[in-house]
Amino acid sequence: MMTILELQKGYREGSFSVRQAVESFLERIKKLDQRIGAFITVCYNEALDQAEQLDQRLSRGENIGPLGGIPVAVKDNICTKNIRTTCASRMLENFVAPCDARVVENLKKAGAVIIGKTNMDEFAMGAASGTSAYKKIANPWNLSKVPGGSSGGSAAAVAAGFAPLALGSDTGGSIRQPASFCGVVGLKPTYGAVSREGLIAFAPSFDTIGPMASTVKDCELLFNVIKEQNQSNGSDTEEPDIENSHKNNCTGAFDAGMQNMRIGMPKECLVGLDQEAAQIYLRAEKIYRDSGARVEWFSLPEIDACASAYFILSSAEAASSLARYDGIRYGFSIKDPQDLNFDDLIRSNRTEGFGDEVRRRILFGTCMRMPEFAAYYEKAEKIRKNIKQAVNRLFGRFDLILMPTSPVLPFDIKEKHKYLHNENQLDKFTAIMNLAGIPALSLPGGFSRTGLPVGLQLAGDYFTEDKLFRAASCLEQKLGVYKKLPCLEGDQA
Amino acid sequence: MKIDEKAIKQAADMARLIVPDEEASALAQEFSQILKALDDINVNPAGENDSDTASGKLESALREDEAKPFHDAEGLFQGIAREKDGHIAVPRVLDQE
Repeated sequence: MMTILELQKGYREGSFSVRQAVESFLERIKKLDQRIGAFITVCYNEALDQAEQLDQRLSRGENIGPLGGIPVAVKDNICTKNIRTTCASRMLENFVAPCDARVVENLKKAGAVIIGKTNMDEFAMGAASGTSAYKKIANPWNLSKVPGGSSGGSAAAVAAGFAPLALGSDTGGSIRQPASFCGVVGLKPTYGAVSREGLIAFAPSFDTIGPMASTVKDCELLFNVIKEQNQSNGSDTEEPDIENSHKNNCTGAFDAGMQNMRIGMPKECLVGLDQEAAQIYLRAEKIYRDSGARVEWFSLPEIDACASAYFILSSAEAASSLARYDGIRYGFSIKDPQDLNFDDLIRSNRTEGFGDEVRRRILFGTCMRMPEFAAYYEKAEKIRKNIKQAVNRLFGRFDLILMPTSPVLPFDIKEKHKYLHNENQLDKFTAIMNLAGIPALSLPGGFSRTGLPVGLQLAGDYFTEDKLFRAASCLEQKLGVYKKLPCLEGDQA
Repeated sequence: MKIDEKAIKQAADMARLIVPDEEASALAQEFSQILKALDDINVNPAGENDSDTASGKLESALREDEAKPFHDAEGLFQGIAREKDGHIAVPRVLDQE
């Protein structure tokens, strides 16, 4: 599959048109997505119309933008004007937002082509993409395995070559874990670095939109288009400088190497870690040492408390975020409401409109908001504060933290129930970054003996995505993993 | 501390969800296990300073809440459940006696 820079070179030199490139992606989706299930909606007509407009602009010698003619798949919890946004839920099956999310506005200004809306765990709640109300998603590397979640459709779309770029959202690991399972690059930016406007809320104090791509460089190009310019605080106050986004990247820094970069590796990550994932983790340590980085093991006991605290806090926020869905003005409504009073109608709409996992989290979150359980909520908040303090101390000592992304390898779709209610295990290495609000990037670290991707994760201090890209690029070049693509049956590409 | 079926039923009432008895019983057990996991974690008391402000790196800055005119009524109506004579139709709110 071509990188963004290769596609753009082809457009500039007239080797192929934007329409031809977009058509080839759409044909691939049509041919292969029945077995992957990456998309809920494919924008055949809209994407081709947009491609033609871009070709016309190119023929007039115009600059079509930093992502001009590049197809982007968008997770289906990010609002798109005139294209339905379902959150993979029956509740929003027919919902069409009246305006684009801020990140989608930014994509359009940068010339990107929205190719479709990707499948996901319902309302982004899950870690295996098994809670979608519409269809399951398969891992392109092994169709019997899960792609991870909740941004499983976005990760699978990039891995399967359906789009060179995708947007996901990350509340407790929902970009990084599927990126790891599908062998792609995924960034959870600093909380506030990318606007949440138009992202359908799950847990607003954690939710973050981020880029997914085949390579670190492509991931960075997308990040530069969606990030906000005022990165001095946790808000999103200024318009992105899209015209100059290609100049803002740290691509030059990719060549700067790792000399004297201080990298910390938490000892606790080796506990309960899959053996093959551990080997890949330790290989990365060696690569960084050989590249001139100063690598040091340290203890981060806070990791053990993260998943529980995250689950309590995020569920409590979810209970509030999802209270708005009653099926009265919009959203799922039962077919024959005549015999019900108003309250019972809302109860029926919500009970039938939400899937099991969403109802479970709403109920748990509501319990955590009751006075008798307030001590648990307060304890979880205290853990969050302690983690932020620990993280602040850490980044005085290290530039980056290197961790595995997931303690387990992609598991069988049939086994998803084993993990569905065991968030502690799956979110173990990712939720800490959401609790602290710091950026973290997952990149392919290698493959298991059975050919399953294994991810590595780099985390940095607030607003230091440039360091993440630099260190990830170094590892990517040394490992060469990104050059390998999944072989799908019937795939001639 | 345990979450019992009564608490689940109370939460279901607050969250406007219907939870059958057998499901409430299973959820009570499961949620109690989650709380037990948190009980087993020792937490150092957080420092007196809030970590965000102490670090000076993050502050809660919000945009002005400015009202902006929105004229795309057609766009808004794309998402509604029912329409009648150009208005959003909703079920009867007051019960008929």
